[in-house]
Amino acid sequence: MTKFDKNNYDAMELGATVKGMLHDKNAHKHANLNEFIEWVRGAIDAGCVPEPDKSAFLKKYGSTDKKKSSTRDKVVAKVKKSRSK
Amino acid sequence: MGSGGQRSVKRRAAGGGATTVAAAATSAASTSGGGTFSVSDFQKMSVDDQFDLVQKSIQGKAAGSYYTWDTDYQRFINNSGLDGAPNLVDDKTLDSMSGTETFRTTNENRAFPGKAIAVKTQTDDKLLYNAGGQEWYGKGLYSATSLGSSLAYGNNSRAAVMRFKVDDSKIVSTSVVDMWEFKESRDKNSLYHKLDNAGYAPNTRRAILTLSKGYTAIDNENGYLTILTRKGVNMSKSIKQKGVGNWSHLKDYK
Repeated sequence: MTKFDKNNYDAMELGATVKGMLHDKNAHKHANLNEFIEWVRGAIDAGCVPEPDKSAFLKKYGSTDKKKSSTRDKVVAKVKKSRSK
Repeated sequence: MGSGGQRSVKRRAAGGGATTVAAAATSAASTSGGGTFSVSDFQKMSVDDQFDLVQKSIQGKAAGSYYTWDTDYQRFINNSGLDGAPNLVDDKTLDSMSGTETFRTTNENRAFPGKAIAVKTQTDDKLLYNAGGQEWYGKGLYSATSLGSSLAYGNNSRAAVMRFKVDDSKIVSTSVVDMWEFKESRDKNSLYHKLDNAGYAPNTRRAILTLSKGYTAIDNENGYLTILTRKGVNMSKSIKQKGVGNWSHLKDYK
């Protein structure tokens, strides 16, 4: 997997990639989507993705296992709530 | 200086074999910084000659213009005779030219400050067409048709901003390239099919297919333009720093 390298990337390639991932109708079908997600998340962590692209990207691709964790989180929260009563 | 590329086409027209064409084009590239061999010349070649040129070019080495990220496309564009410095003009002349205006911002990298990369884009006969990251739209020199979008990805005042104008007749939409890929993937005599069979990556096949149709850039239909070769593209002599406002408001990079 190619990790984001702040010293070796092209600004316009990053911009086009973020825009593509946000707006391509078939983005979910793109090969190696998870690799792209991780690469852009690395760019976000390094402060290289400006707003509003950063927020839009995190909203769409916040976590690769978002569904699983959110369901689990809901159950955990429910149990905690019932125990605290 | 530039006649090598033209001669190669004449030889082919006169019945020269694929080897002669590829050798002549490669020779033109190595001895004259790309010569006059153009995408139109590449388009006129037979599929067999095009494929032969691709194979021979990729066997060569990538140019180490400023740092080398060695890919098949990089070796193809550097050694095929299709790379070359753009047509440099002042801003007033560029304003008067027709075509799609597009901007490219480059940050400093491990090897060079942003300005040095911009100067190399303006003047080097051979150039790096892909960096060491992920490319959603494949290989090429990325630019944005909006100056604001381009500037947004510049890190700081050391980022350099370049301005181009690409002839509209040399730009093709990404959806048209999709259609070519669909059609040619089913035609075993097509260049795309041959490239696929030879094991080249989808991004590389896509860029070479587009050049083989006589185009120099792909409109990604989201405000970004992928320039596949600088040759024949008009470019401003000015290099600007990241800032606010339109092109004339930006400070010259000193």
